[in-house]
Order: sequence, then C-alpha cells, then structure tokens
Amino acid sequence: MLETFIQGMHLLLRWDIYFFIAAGLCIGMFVGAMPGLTTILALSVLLPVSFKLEPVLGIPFLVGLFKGGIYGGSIPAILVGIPGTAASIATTFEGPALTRKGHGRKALEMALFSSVSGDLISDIFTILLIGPIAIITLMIGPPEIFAIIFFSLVLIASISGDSGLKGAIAALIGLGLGFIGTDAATGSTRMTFGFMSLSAGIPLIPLVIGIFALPEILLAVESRAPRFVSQFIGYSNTGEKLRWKEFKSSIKTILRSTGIGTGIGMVPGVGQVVAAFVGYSAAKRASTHPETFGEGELDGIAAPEAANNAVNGPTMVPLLTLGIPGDTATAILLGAFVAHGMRPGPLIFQEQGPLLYAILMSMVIANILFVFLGYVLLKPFAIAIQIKKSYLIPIILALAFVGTLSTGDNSDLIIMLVVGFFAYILRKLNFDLAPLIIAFVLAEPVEYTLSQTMLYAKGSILQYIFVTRPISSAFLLSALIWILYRAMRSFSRKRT
Amino acid sequence: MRRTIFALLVTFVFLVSPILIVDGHAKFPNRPVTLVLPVGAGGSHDLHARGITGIMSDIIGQPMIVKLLPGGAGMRGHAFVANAKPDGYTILFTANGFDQLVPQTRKVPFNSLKDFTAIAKLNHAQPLFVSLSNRPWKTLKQFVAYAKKNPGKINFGHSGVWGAIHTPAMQFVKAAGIKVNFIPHKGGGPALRALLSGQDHISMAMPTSGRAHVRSGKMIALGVTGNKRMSKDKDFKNVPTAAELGYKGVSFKMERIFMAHAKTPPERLKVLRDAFETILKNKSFKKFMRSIGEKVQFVKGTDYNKVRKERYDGFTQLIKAMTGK
Repeated sequence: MLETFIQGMHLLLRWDIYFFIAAGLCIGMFVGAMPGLTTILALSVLLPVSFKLEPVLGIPFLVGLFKGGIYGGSIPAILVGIPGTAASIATTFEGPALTRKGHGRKALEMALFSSVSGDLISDIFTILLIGPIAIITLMIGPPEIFAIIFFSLVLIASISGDSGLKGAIAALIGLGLGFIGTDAATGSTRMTFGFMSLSAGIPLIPLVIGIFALPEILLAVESRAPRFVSQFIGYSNTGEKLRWKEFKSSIKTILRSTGIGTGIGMVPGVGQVVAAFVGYSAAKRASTHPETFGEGELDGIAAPEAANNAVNGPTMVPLLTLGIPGDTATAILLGAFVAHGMRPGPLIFQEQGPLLYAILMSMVIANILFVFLGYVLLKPFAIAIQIKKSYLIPIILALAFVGTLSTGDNSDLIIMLVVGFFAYILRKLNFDLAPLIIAFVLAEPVEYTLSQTMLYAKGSILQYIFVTRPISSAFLLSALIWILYRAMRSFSRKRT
Repeated sequence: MRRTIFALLVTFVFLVSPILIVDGHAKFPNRPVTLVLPVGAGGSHDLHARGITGIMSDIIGQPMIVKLLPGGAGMRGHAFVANAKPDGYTILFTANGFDQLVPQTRKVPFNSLKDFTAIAKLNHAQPLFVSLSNRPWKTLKQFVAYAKKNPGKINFGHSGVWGAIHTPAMQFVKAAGIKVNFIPHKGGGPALRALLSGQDHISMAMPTSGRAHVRSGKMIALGVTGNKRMSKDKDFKNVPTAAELGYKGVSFKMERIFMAHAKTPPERLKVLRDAFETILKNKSFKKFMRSIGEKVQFVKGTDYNKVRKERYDGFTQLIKAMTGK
C-alpha cells in the first residue's frame, strides 16, 4: 500500500494540478456564496469540462469546486443571514448576530478555519482508515439510519427547548411539507393537490430561500427601517481579525464537530445539513454558557462549519470502495471517474491505486490551498457586499430568483414565493423556523427508512430491531433514556 | 456614397434580422435546444447526457442544454415536455419504463402513446439477477427452489416501484411462481448496497454497476433478462437468460431513448432524428461511450415507434396480473 501511495504522490508533482484545484475552489466559493445557485448545479454544468482534462486534473478540479462551494454558502449566511446553500443554514444562528456586533470578519475567518480543519481531519482519517470505514458503512442499513436520525432529532430538539410549543408547531409544518410529493415506498403521489410540479416534493433550495431571504426583506420594508436603509455591512466595519486565542478556545468544539460530521458522513443519505445542526446542538449542550448562543457566539460558527465539512471525507468511501455514491455530489464525481475510464469499486485499488491515492491526496491539498486562498478571497467577497443593505438585500433577492430559476422549473419560483409569504407570517408571529427546516430535511429519510425497516421486520418490528440490529437498538435506547431523563428532570424542577 | 450604401445595408440587415429569427422557416434549430431528463444528477442518464450534449452542439450548430427534472417516478419531466411548445426545442431523454409503464400506474396529464414520438433509441442495459456468492444457491433454479421452501422470507431489493429492477423482478416472480418480500430502495445504488451488506438476499444490477463486484468474487450473476445472452460481454457472456431457464416473459430491458412531442413539425423532427444518426459516426462520441463502458445499440425513432404500442400493452397485462387492477 505504501508503495502505491508513494507512486500516487509522484503524480502530484506538477503545478497544473494546483492551478485546477485553486480554480475549482474559487468557482465553488463564488457559486456557493450566491443563494440559489447550488454546488450541485455547478458540478453538473462543469462536469464536461473535467471530461476534457486528464483524470488527475479533472477530478481534483471538481473536488475543489465542491469544497469551495460548501464554504461559500456560509458567507451570505454570516453577513446577511441568508444561507447560500442548505449546508450553511445552521450558520445563520450565530452569523448575523456576530455581524451586527461588528464581528463579521471574525465570523468569516472562524468559518473558514473551522471548515478547513474539519475537512482536513476527516480526509486524513478517511485515507488512513478507508477499509474499516467501508465495513462500517455496509453495516449501516435502514434500521440504523432510522435510529441515528431519531437520535439526532432528540439532540437537536433538546437545545431548542425554549422555543416550546411554537418550535413543535414549526417542526410539524416542516414534517408535513416534507411528506408532499411521491411516497417513495409505494411510488404513489400524495398531497400534491394535482400539481404535477409538486410530485417531486418541495425542492429544498426554493424552500430555503423562501424561508430565509424573503421574510428578511419583507420585514425590513415593512418597518421602513431607517437603520436598514443606511446600514453598511462593509468589510471596513465588520471589525477586527480573528485572534489566535479565540480560535484556540474553539478547538475543542471543532474537534467535536469533526467527530460528529465524520460519523454522519458514514451514514448514507443523511448528509451535511443534519451534521451542521447536530454539531451546533452538541456545541451548545457542551458549552459552559449556552445562554449566549444565538446572540453571536464564535463557537456557534465553528461548530456547524466544522461538522458540515467533515462529512465530505467518509462520503467518498462507499463511492470508492463499492462504486455506490452516497449523495448527488458524489454521484457526479462517480460520473467523472467513469468518463475517465475508472470504475470505482472493490478492484479500484488494484487497478488504479496510484491515481486513486493522488486524487485522495488532492482532497487534502485542496484544504491546505483553501486556507490561503479563502483568506485572500474573503476580502473581495466582503467588499462586493460592502454596499448599503438596502441595495444589497434586493440584489441578493434578485440573484436568489435567478438561482431558483436555474433549477429549470418555473414552478420552483412560485413555490419560493408561497413559502416566503407564509414564512413571513410565521416570523411575524415569532416562530423559530429552524425546526421547520430540519424536520423538512429529515421527513423523507425518517419515513423511508422506517417503512423499509418494517418491510424487513415482516411484522415483528421490536423483535427485529432489538434482537438482530444492535447498532440501531443502541441509538434508539440512548435517545429514549435521554428523553426520560430530561422529562424527569424538568418534572422534578417544576415540583420544587 | 459608398459609406451611405454600406450604412443602409447595415441598417437593413439589423431591421430584417429579427424577422428572419422569428420566421418559422428559418433553419432549425436557431436557438439552444433543451434536453429534459426526468431523473436526478449523477445517474447513468445524466452521465450519457453530459457527454452527448457537448458533442451534439457541434452537429446541430446550437448548444444543447441539459435540464434535470427528477421526481414523481419520472412523470414530472415527461409532463414538462408534454406541456412545452411542440417546436422541437424541448426534447426528452428518458427510459422505456417511464415512457410505456409508469404512466399506466398513476394519473398523468398526458397520453404517452399519443403525445410523444421517438427520436432515437440509443442503447439498452439488460438487468442481471445478482446475489452474494456465499448464499446457499448458485443458480437461478436453486434460488427458486429455496424461495419455494421459504415463501415470503426472501428479501428482494429493488430501486423503486415499477423501476428498472422492480419490473423484471415482478415478471420473474410471476413466471417462477414464488413469493418474495420486495424492499424498495432509493435508486439502484442503495439497492446494490443493501445486497452487498447482506441485508437483501437477491436483487438486480445493471452490467456496468455490478461488474466490479462480480469480478471481485463477492457477488454472482444468476441470470439475465431478455431472450439473448450478453455474448459480447466478457464478464457476463456465460450468464443464462431467464427464458433459457424456463421463466417466460422476463423480458424487461432498460432502454435509453430520446423523445419529442408528437406534434413537433415533421421537418424539425427529421433534423433531430438525423442529428442522432450523425452523432453515431462521431469520433469523440465513440470515445466517450467507450470510456463510460456503454454500448451503442441504435434504433431509429421511426422503428422504435412501431414497438412502443405493443410494449405498452404488454405492461398493461403485467400490471393487471400483479396488482389485480
């Protein structure tokens, strides 16, 4: 193995690889920063470009694009509270608050450094342990996925306890929206009211834009906010640089989130959005001052950013060892591999070992390059946003419309407007919309894996899970014990 | 004087050019053609489309743009093309199942046979019956015997109801007279994963996705659909067809087809059909298909149209037999 690895490293001794990775990172960062334009879209549009390049250039180019995109999404999330991609939704919890306090620059830098750290650690972990990870991913079937999602939900819910009944209502709305579309288990359409465009379910991007971008501007217009009209959120007054001391105090959070992200990355079909939420929740739980979360806490930036990037390493494992992509981004990468005549699968290490290691190492290189590139690029990005908020938000909104249209279906625009209108009403009624999003994202996998589990169980579900699926039962039991513990504690608190 | 004439000429061209563009008799296509895929990013259709559209642009002289409209078991993309203006600028790259089978299983706002016409069939994939090699059966016959002894205990994983695995699996279950526990997965990848992890006892895989696992010895191919062996495939040429083994009617193949709205003007339809014949001879196209490991089994649109009705009726029978509706 070491020999193949060294051969692979030899392939990396040329300057144009670094150029293409850097190009990918820049494009990705730009696309990610535009709400509505997704990394997936950029990946699939630029896939043919990679066909024309050598594999050792083309695939790292796409890898860079993907990594840049995830970070790019957090730029508008931090500066204006509008997530550029779904993976950066959890970053909006602390980002705008920090920007308001004049710590926008600190937040952007914290996001960059924690993203890169999370990604780097998880990539190295993946390269070293690709075999064991492959075995673990195969052990995780529908009952395990269901249990892990359930466990994550309990964790996420436990930190949004103060939103109480309204949070629960928002989560139920999200769940309901998530059930619209095609019932994946039976293939029949449901709750579409006869609209063909709803038969695929509500698309995530228009929903996210509708929920985050539209109410933002409606609320501002309505209050005729004088502050809003004149407020600059330029780089010059986004404050000082991140200090080493501040980063150091978040290292623990970054490592925790990296662990969470890497773990979630091994679970097929859960992904970055959930990892970011779980990472944030865990950081708030572990914090000695959870009450400052939500008011601009740098730890609350580090947590989701490290977690969503740490997902990337392990998601490559089923792609490389089985030839089975875990999500859309890796599916597009599979296309790039295949078009270069490489068929990922159990034999790829024998057949294409050096090239494969070169590509894996290019993921590590992409991270190291990104530390410098991202640091330099933050400035132009922030300067581009250095205009009056009253101009900026409409521009972002216009871009969001264009981005939504880029998915190809005009009805997505209508979905976005309808969602935005209702989200505005909910915001006026002081609803917290984060539970809505997380419930929406998880509605389908929860239902799907549960129905698969029931089919496997053939009628005796408890026996099936608790006798034959130890991983699943461990997660379910810990979730239940946690709920009981919390319930008893709040009960005893009420009595005293 | 010369300058005046030149200026007049330029003005004239500018004035007339919009008319030329609007003119229906202008050369087709004179703007980008949209290729709608009723599936998501990253699948085999997407991969084909990315390679083909790049080359097609040189042939038709206009860009061909991929538009992914997944969901609703492919029907969202089909409905989009059915509702689009039938001017040849919006065409569909789909599979036979979405064209001839799925529209019969649900309410759709179009009539597949009347509203669509074939441009070309590009190629097909014959699904293989696959199992882990450590199962107590080594052939399809042995599997059927095992399944008969253990009715309802076999987990048969598939990629989605009435999809490219479920359909031939239904044909097979009907022909073999066995009862299995069908488990739906979100696509062919997850179905293959469930088989490899030992969760599902049997499933089906396309040659391209199953090949590496069969070569590595972890998985065995028990049989193939259709009535012809894959005699040119060095890994699967010895795999018997279901028909040989006595399971009649296990015929489903996944065909990749290009379709247009049936009301597309005939001269434009001809341009599109010719373009797909021209691309077959293109060098980069051949190279692309080779590198992705797919064959070209071309059938002209006019010829493919002739078999669509028959196939459609065949699926009507199958659906009736399996669901009682």
